[in-house]
Amino acid sequence: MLAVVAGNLRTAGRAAALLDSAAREDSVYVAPLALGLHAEIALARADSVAAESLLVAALATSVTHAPGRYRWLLAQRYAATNHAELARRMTHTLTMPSQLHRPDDAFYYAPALKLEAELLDRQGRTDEAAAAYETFLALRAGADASLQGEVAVVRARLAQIRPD
Amino acid sequence: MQPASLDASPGPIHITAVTRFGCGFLLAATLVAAADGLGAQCADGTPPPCRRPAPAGSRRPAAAVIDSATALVAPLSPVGADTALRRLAATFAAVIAENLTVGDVRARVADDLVPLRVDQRPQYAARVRAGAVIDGTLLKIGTSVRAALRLRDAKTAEELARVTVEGSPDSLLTLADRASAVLLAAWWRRQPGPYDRGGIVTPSLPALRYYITAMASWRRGSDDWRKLLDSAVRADPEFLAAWAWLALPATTNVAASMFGDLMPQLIAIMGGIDPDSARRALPRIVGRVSPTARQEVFRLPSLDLIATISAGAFPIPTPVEPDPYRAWDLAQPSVDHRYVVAVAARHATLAGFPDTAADRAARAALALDADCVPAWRLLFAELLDRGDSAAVRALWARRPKLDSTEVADLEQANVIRFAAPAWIAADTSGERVMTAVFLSGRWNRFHVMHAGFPAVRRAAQEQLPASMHQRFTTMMGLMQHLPALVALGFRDSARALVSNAAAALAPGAGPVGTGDQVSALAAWVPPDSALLPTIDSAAFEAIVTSNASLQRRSQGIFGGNVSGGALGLHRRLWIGGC
Repeated sequence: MLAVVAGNLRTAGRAAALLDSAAREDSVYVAPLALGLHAEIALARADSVAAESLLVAALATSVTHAPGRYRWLLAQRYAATNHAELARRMTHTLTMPSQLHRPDDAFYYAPALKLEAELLDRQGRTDEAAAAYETFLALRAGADASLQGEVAVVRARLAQIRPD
Repeated sequence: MQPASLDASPGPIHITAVTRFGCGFLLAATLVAAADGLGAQCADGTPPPCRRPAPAGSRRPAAAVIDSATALVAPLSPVGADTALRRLAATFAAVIAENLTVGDVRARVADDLVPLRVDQRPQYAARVRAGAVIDGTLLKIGTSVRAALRLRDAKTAEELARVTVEGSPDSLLTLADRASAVLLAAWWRRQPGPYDRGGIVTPSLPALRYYITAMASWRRGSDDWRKLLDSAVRADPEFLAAWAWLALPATTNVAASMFGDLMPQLIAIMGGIDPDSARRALPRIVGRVSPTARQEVFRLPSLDLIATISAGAFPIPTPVEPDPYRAWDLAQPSVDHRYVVAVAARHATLAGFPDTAADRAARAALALDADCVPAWRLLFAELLDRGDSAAVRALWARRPKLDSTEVADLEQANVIRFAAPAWIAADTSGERVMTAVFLSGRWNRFHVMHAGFPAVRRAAQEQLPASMHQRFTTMMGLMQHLPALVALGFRDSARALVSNAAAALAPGAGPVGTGDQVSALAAWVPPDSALLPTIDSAAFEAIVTSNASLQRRSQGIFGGNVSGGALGLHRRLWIGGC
């Protein structure tokens, strides 16, 4: 994944081959990661359809062993392709309190919360959207200065939909 | 809901509406027919049989095309000369024909069959290209009527189903529905296609019709199949095949499309819970997939249900690494049923549909078997997630026999779920705080994670040898503190933590496999968070080259000692069977 982010798709491809090989021996832990890495590579190649299919396959292989990152990427895909309700449900799997969360789900909690709020807002579910915005604001109240612009935007939107 | 429409013109009675349970009219027709000779008349004042125009917007033509999915229904042969009985027999056949018109199967009354001998009727049906013929007798016994019907294949005259129902003439519709449920299940099962349709068992005609409609809907790609299945299980809460479908994770439906007609076939088997059907069908399917794909297919969580449902009727490939939490004890079908229902509800929750059905079903499973540990775990997790401390305490008092490690895990989970952040921060007993930090991630309490981490570091420093505590706190930092920092938006702190961890885990930093540790770092840190200035391209190569055992590495990350107890809890809560 790091290689993908760095644009080094050759190395990513080699790692994917390794993962494919390992997935034959361990279909519980490795198979979702292998599918996910292929999805990341597909995303890097702008093949979003293949990426979406691979992400779905990774989640279907094991909901609990697939990183939350895949649900986040899929939520973004759904949101970008006007599947607002699907996207909202996918974000909700990251924002709902649950025993099923893995620690790394937390990496995507804040952006998922914000996206969920925006999707609810878009769907006209104002009260729920406001609650999600408020949760986001409470979470990010003390965030670094570089993130306060985003916080201000959310605060402004919340003031619009809930003036009181 | 569209009413049924009967064309009472001379010749066969044609069922012209798809939707069942335009029963009002049929009931009226039945009663009028039964009371014939007593001067009864239809609502429009005409003598029976009653005529009703096709409803506006009916999507069916006046007379449906006959094809191999059509069963011709002969008016039942009345035994005796009673005119009312003859009327009842005709009406009974009309109701049967309507009941059997759903999804991709249909039936129609064919008066042309009446003059034919019983053994000639299948030939006639085959000649007009119908797939089957239904006929039978109606007999009056005292104050009751008894209807005996059979369904025969048109080409082979093979008897596919036989059913006898008996009751008051006043309950003719109920009798017809009971007979229809048997005939419809047999006729639908007979339809060709890539789907195994065995094992569909329900005494409820509405449930069966909803189920068949849902199957047709699913194949069309419509989204209403879940709602239809919801209706099916409302009509028959014991309809296991419908529950098994509902247990599909939302994503599996999408994944299914990737496998072409293979996956629907697999899933249809899952819907068909009959072990014999599964045993016959599965080898054909397995033979069509590559070894790798086969293994992946069998790891689909939903397909674990095949194992549940088929009760060991066929061998499931043994994972290289057997997981004890995936073991199913299939000795108690009724408990398994409840467990499948609970899993279905759990998946629904995961898909974003809050539903209390999971805990209801888990309670039902426990009522049937107080020692059903997976159901108990599931209920525990549900109540914990919901924050119902009183219910959790009550459930804890009734816990089944658990191993001591799990008892400790669950006790900690219980304490942590309901403990105040201030209490956690003040407690420096190490293990408890570490667990608090870990489990806070489950409930999105990132402030607690953040607040608890200094105590974890302090406890590690006090309790671990110097050679260990740095690595331990580094890994704990990556595993627990980093996600909290990222969630809270403390990017600068997060970046510093990663840089320090990369330095601490660099080759030569410690005796434990450094390649694996670097890999762990690489696998853990989110690549899109701009936290990785210390990983260069040479490190990528090192990661790939040194990673001789991804399996061991993944175990090191996810199942190792860093926080194995709570991770084990996580796994046990999720995976298991009664």
